[in-house]
Amino acid sequence: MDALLDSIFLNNFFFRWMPVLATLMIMSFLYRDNPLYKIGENIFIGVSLGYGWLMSWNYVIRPFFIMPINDMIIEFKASDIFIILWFLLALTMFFRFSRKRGWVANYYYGFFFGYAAGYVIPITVQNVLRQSTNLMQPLNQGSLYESSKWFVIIFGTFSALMYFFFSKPHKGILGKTARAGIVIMMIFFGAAFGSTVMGRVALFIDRTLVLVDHPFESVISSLIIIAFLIVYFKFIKKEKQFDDQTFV
Amino acid sequence: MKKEIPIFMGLVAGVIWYTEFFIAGLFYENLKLFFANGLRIGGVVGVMISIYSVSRQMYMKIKYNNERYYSFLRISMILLMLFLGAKRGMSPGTPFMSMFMNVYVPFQATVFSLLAFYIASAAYRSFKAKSLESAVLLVASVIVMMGKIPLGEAIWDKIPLFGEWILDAPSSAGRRAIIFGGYLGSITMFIRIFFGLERAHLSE
Repeated sequence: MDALLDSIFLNNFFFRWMPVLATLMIMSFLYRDNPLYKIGENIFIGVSLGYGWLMSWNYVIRPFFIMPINDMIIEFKASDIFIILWFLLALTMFFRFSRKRGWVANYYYGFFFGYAAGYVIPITVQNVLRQSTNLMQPLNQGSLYESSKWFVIIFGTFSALMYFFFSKPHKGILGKTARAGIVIMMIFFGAAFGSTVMGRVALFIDRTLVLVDHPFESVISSLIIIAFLIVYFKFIKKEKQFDDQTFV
Repeated sequence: MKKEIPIFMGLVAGVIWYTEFFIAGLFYENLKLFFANGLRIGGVVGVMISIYSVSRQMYMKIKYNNERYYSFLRISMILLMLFLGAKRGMSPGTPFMSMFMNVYVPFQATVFSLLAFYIASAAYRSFKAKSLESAVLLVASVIVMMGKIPLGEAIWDKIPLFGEWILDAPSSAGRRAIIFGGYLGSITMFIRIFFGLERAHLSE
C-alpha cells in the first residue's frame, strides 16, 4: 500500500502536471465561471480542510485532549475532575446549532470573551505605550532625508489622530490639522493599495513562471481547457435568452 | 439566568487574568493554569465543532442536490488527505506533504494572484482624481508601485527613493494613527464586554 501511494503521489508526473493544472483551472475563471474552476475550487477547499484538520489533530486535539484522557485512564487524580468539567462546559457550544436551546452555548462564550477581555486589555495598553514611546525620537536623524521622515511621522500621526478623536467641530486650526490628517490617511491608503497590487502581481508572475518552466504540460493543459470551455459554453450550457415576452 | 451567569463567569475569568499582571505568586499561577486549561479544551471542542459544521453543510448539500457532485469531490479530497496523513505521516517527503506542496500551494497562490486582475479593473473604474484627497491617493499608489519595479528606476532613478520615503514616513504615520484608533476601540469594546454592557457575543 505504501509503495502504491508513493508511486501515485511521489513521482515526476504528479510534480509536473498538478501545479500546471491547478494554475490553469483557477485561471479559467478569468473567462467565466465554469465547471473546471469549480472542480479546482472544491479540490482546494477539500485539501485545505483535510490539512487543517490533521494539523488540529496533531497540535490541539492530541496534546490537550487525547493525552490528558490517556493519563486519566492510567492514573486518575482529583484535579482531573476539572478537566472533565471544562470539557462539559465547552461542549455547551454545540447548543449553538439548536434554535430553542442556543442560549446554553452562552455559558462557554461568556467565559471565553471575559477571559479574552482580561488578556487583551493590559496587552493593548502596553502596545499603545510602546507605540507612543517609539514615536518619541530625536528629530536629528543624521541626514535631511531621515529627519524629514521623522518630522512627517510625528506631525502626520498627530494630525491623523486629530481627525479621528477630536469631537470638537473641525474649524480653524483644528480643521486645517484634521485636513492634513486626511491627506496622510489617503497617502497610507494609496501606499497600501500599491503594495497589495504589487504583491498580487508578484504572485501572478510566480504562477506564470511555473507555466514557463513546464512548457509541454502548459500547452497541452491549456489546449484541453480551452477546448472544454468552447464545448461547454457553446453546446452544454445554454444562456437564458430573455425577450420582451419573458417579462410580461 | 441565561445572560447573568455567563457574564459573571466572564467577569471572574477576566479579572483573574487582568490582575495577574499586577500580582504574582503560586496561587495565581495555579488559578491561571486552571483557566488556561478551560481555554485549551475550548479549542479542542472548537475543532470538533468546525468538523461537525462542515460535515453537516456538505451532507445537506448532497441531500438536497445543491451542487451535489462538487460536495462529493470536496469530501473525497478531505478523506484522501486524512488517509494520507494517517497512513504515511506528515513529514516532508511523504504523499501528504506532496499533496500540500503540489496541490494546495499552487491553488492558493493562483487564487490570490487572480485578485490582481480584479483589483486592477476596480482601480481603473474607481480611481479618478476628483478631489485633492483622491489625487493624493492616486499619486501615492502610483509612486509606490513604480518604486518597486525596474521601469520606475529607468524613468527616474529617484522614484524608488520616493516610494521608500512614502512607505516609511506618511504611510507609517497613517498606519500608526489607525493602529492607535484600533487599540483604543478594542480596549473600549473589551471593557464593555467585561462589565456585561456589550452582549453581542451572547446572541443578544
